[in-house]
Amino acid sequence: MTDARREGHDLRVLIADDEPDVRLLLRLGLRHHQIEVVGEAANGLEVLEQCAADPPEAVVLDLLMPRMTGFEVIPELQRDHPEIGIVAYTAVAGDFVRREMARLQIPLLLKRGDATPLAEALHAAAAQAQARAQAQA
Amino acid sequence: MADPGGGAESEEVAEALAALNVARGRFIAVAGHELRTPVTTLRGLAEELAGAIDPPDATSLAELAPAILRGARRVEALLDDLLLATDITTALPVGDLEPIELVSTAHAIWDAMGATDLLELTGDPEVEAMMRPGAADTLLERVLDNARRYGSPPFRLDAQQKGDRVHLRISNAGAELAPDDVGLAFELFYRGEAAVTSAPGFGIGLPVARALARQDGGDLWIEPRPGGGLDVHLELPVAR
Repeated sequence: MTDARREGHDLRVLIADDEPDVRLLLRLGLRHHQIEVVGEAANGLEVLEQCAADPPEAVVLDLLMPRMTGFEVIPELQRDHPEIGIVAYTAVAGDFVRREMARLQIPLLLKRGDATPLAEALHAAAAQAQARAQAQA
Repeated sequence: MADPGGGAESEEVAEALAALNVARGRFIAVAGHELRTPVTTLRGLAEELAGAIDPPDATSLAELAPAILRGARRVEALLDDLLLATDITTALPVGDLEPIELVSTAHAIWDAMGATDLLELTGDPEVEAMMRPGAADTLLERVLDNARRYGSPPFRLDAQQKGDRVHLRISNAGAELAPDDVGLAFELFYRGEAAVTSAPGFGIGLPVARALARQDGGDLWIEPRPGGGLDVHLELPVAR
């Protein structure tokens, strides 16, 4: 049981993917899992802008996005918003992607039609990020 | 039995097989990546439509049907591209050559893409080339889409008639291309380093565009712009 669920509120999540229909799918699919989608971003720059303006509790982060990739976003978010949980969400993951996400300690999920594993990963990542931020404070 | 004259030939065969293996690896990687997104989306949206967890409300329903249609069209377009890229003739456009106004066709495609940046025109806006109408649309869409995905403004279109040929140059600013990217841009399923990390794609846009140009007696090539960006040159027989 993660913090958001234990506290009885929906987890506030930002969806970042340059494909509008992937964002639609996630918006619809995640609502069944105590998740409120509070924002959508089509590239990495929009992720940083939205996190600065109204930080969510977790971010679904596509790795291949124009203008600024997910790979570039992760270090910035980890530095400026350690309280935000990040889940990398990608169509396919080769050795490079797996190694990079392991190095950055970011959970990695492959895109699938079923939103349940992603929802579980978001709740877990948010809880860990909050615990980490509180420990640092 | 030893064949003293066969060494060079064996080496060539080995090199050809190695190249084929590289192309095969590239194909599997990009095909898997590009098909994953629409297939995933189609499955998930269909599950939402079926109300696997909760029945969709009216707002969701209104969004679901067009999104499923877009996903199906995308898979269809990807399959068409694959057939075209592997030179399967059944996937090539059929029909007769017709006079095509390249500039107005390019602008219509640019607008249909939802491009907000201006496509600036220089030269002769009324030049007409002989081409199959379907081929012209696909070719121009590939080239313009490539410019939009990987380039930045200003986007320019220059059209000229030179003797019995029409010459179109589509230019964009942007990052400087790596030398490898220039050389390999027409290799099937090759995607440059910047492309791989910035936007999805099959790595077949330019090879497909060139195949279509050559099918109708023309040609297509690229030149990096000094300081960054790209010029794509298209040459076709002029309409008589």
